[in-house]
Amino acid sequence: MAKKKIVARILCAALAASLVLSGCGQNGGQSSESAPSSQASQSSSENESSEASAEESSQPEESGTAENGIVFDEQGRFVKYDPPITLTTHAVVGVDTMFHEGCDIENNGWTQWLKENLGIEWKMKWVSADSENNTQKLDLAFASDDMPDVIYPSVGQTTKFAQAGKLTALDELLDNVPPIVQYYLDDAEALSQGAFWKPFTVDGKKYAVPAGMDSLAFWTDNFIRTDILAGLEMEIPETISDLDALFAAYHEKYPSGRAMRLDKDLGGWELVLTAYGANTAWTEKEGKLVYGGVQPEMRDALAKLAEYYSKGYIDPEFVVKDGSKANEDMIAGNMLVWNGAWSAIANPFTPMWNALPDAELKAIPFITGDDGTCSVVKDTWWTDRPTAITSGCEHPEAVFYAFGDNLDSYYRNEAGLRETLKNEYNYEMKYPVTQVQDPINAEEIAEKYPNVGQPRQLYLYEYSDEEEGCGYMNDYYTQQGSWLGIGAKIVSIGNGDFGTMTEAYNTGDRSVLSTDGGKMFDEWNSTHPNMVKTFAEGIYPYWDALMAGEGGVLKPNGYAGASTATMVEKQAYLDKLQIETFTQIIMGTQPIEAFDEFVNNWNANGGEDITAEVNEWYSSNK
Amino acid sequence: MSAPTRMQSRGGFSSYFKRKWQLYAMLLLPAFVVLLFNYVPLYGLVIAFKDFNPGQGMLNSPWVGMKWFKTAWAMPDFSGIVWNTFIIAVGKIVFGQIAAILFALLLNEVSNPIYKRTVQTITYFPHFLSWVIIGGIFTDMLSTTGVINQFLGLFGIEPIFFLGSNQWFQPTMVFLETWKEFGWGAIVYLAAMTNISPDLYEAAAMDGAGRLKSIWHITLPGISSIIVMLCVLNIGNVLNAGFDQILVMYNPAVYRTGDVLDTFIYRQGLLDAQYSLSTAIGLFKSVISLVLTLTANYLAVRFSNYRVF
Repeated sequence: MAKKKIVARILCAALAASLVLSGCGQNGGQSSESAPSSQASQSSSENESSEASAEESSQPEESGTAENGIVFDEQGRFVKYDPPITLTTHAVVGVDTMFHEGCDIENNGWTQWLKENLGIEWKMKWVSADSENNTQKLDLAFASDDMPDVIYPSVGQTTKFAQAGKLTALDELLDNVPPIVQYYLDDAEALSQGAFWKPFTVDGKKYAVPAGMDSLAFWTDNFIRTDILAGLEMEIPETISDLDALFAAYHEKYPSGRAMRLDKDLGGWELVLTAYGANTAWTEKEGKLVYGGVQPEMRDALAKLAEYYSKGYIDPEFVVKDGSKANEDMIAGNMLVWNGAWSAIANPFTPMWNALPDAELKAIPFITGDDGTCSVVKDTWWTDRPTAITSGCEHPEAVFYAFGDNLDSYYRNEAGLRETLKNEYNYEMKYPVTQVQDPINAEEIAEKYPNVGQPRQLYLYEYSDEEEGCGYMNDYYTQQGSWLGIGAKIVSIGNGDFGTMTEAYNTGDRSVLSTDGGKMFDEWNSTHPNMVKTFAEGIYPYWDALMAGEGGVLKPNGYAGASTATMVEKQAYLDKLQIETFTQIIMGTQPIEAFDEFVNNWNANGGEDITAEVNEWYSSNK
Repeated sequence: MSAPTRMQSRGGFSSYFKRKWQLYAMLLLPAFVVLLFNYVPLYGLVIAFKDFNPGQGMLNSPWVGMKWFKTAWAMPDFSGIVWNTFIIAVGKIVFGQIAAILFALLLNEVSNPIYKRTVQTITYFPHFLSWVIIGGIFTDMLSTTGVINQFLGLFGIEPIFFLGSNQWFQPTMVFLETWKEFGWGAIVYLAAMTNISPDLYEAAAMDGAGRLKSIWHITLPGISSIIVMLCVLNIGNVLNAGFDQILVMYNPAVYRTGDVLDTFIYRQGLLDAQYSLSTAIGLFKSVISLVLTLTANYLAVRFSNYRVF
């Protein structure tokens, strides 16, 4: 009886908890519909702005034209849909995604702007917590034939969906996009030397618009603790022999320290790989594409990693630690060299600086072999998160109209772009030049979130109705746009932001900052001053040299096609075989000779067929 | 047993149904739920025999016969995966049952009710924690510098890398599952023990039986039917090695001993979107489970005259 009571009580508690939770959900829903009074200034300005633009759009209607429910002004620019239309899509809403009070992914300033000014209702078919989950959900939506109108597939998914006839071919639509979108596409195509469309072209037709991103966004770097280096009286290592000597000295002084970072997915191994020119991508060798994971360069790199592991330079239990767990040693000041994405200046380096104010960090060039050469493969900027339109979508052109208005408002202060569009594209930008303001609640936000990067999207501004326009002067909406996939940037302009930040740091002259560069500059400085310092003194100058082609270090990833037939069947097994063998070689549970066996297995179990398929693609896409 | 006789005496099923229709109406909703979620999806099993292409849909995808079953068996690592699954699952069933029975017997002998209830609550508490949490805690505890190895170090035992060694991974999984579930598993046995008449214990005590004797001759026979039932039900689980536990705790160093059918299906089906192949493997698992459960039930009827269904 007593047992039953206990169980019953637990059940009651669980029930009560679920009631409370569902209650929260309801409250959230209500408050998002009726904006709370604390948001009065914000929401009233939104309402006014929408009225104002309603007036604006009513003027052109007299002189402009309406066609199939689409209103154009007298210059032929898109104004709005009347009656309004609905587009469905999906998005990633992570745990650190923040909204203004009472708002959510479906109902916020940005979606309100789309609905009220452009007549486009933007609905979520689902949201997911991270991009991996997002990819899986998209696959499942495809399998159940229930995809949203606008999707953000991977390269492989684009091919798969297009071949199944589930995507709209964009070629005809692309002939009639707004001129500012045309500028974006021309710019990207020129910068990528025509490769921009390749990954998303299936049977000669274009099926997705690649996202213009900062080409540096995916880059990884080596960082070294220069204060520890000074304590060891060592120089910054350049070659792999330098690294050997440095690690030996470090290990002698700090026996329990980690000389380098390595996690269970082998994150961090690039530190050693570059010296041997090893990679896990497809690169050209003697006119053919070869897979890096089975090349002799990889064997040498693994032998070196195994040596480091046996000498105690690497965490003996790296294999059970994911990326963030592996970073704990860095934050605790127990690590010398850190290899990974440069965004580490926000995390884990900022927590580290908070814990160890004296820790000094510098981004250093890739480690070279003893002959002074090294190479590294970097992803291209245009293969990540393209936008595609499914075949069931009734208004595919609306995506380009919305995109056009986004770009127009976002780049309103770029005088050069305004001129170019006017002269070469015969296009007058819709939104006026606007003086950038400081947020009115910056102190309040800083107080509320003292230890993390300042969440700019929570800032409030006092733009007048006219200045506010589509809201792109407000960072909050900028971030909304990029979450929703159509916040892509004009690449040639976007990449300049980092350069202006570095210049401003070096000269102390804020006036050189671009609009976005200025925002990032302030955000980083408010998070931790070392962020800008580390970026401007190490990361950016090195990038600049790499981009200029110095030393021929950068190798392109040769294969940009979709998953081949054999990849679909065998890739999962090959990936498993690879990480299992590499991990065991590094940990010393298998000798380096196991690599030769791995190469044979890899070839026998599909690798050979995959190589043939990849080269078939390569010869037809050269 | 009395209902049918009354039915006949008062004029057949229709008048019985008229009087009792409310009960049948109440049954409709659960029956509908079972139908919708357990039977309707069975239709999806056809894709195990088709080359499922979402563009064509389930109906129009071409039939490929046993292709996916053959593909799975032809995979170099498949037999190893089946074997790992079997070893881990059987280990969990055997040790889980033994631990639960022993614990129930011990707890049943405790006379202080407060102590008994406290111990029971504490031991079944881990059942309610998800493996994500427990996995995180044990990854630290089982580390070569963690508390468990420090404790073993007191006896001069060299640190063991439990989660990174092919030798230790399977026993560790079985041990953790047993630790997490034995308190919960004991509840059923304790409930069965309360059904044993106290008269039997009194009579045994009069005859001079000690504690061990009365456990052996009264308690164990008293719960034997429950033990048989749980064994039969568990036999169906010999290919369920516990997906969430393994997924949280395995890593590339122990793929050889730690990769099981469920993690394999997860990687193939959800990560690689190979729906036909993963459905085929899932069906393979279900068929084995069904055959084993029926066999075990037959044996239970035959040898201990106990019928589960």
